[in-house]
Amino acid sequence: MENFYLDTNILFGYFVKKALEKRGKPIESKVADFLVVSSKNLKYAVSILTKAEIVRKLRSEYGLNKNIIEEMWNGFFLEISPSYIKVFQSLEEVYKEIINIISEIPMKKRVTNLEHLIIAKKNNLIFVTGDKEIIEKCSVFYDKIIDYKKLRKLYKNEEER
Amino acid sequence: MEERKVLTEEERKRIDEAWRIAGEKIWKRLQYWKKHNPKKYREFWREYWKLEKAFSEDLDEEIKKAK
Repeated sequence: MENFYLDTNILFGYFVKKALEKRGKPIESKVADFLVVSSKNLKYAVSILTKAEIVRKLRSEYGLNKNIIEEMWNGFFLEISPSYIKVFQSLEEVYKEIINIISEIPMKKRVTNLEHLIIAKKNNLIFVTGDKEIIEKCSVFYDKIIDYKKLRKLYKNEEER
Repeated sequence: MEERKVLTEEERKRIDEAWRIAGEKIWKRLQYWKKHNPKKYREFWREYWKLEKAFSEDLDEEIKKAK
């Protein structure tokens, strides 16, 4: 089965929903509900970059401490069971690829999602992202890029098998 | 598919407590923004619903059509 490498955006919704639910303030989140249910059939993947983005946001925006964030990350792993992709490529190698992309195509946003894209590419994973610029412009560099809706459709097909 | 790890009672309690504390802090921060930084509060929910919409816009349309 293919592995789906998730961008951080889709995961952040999960972290917020789950935390508020435990506080007794449930909020609607189709994204988080989908992740939990679909993880029984689909195999997800994350990397150190995903973790770095989640930790930064939880620490800087909500003032959560290191231990709490680590336990949340463990809880996420236990519930969703993603693969943890170790990035063995050197920074030099990753950024050469990124420079290759941005010197050919004008990209407006910062390079973080391109870093995710290169990690997915180097590990032959399907990159799931909501970043329209990546979806529209980068398929010539890597054809395994899908948006959230496509992920949902793939899950539906998998479920119907 | 890999087998999921079975948690000990202590591990489960620790993780649950971490989520609860996080929820408390996130909730308080949202309430603080609502009162003192409404721009940030609106931005939080805008981003949140933007993601939900990006994820399920077509699904919502399908449900509407089915009705």
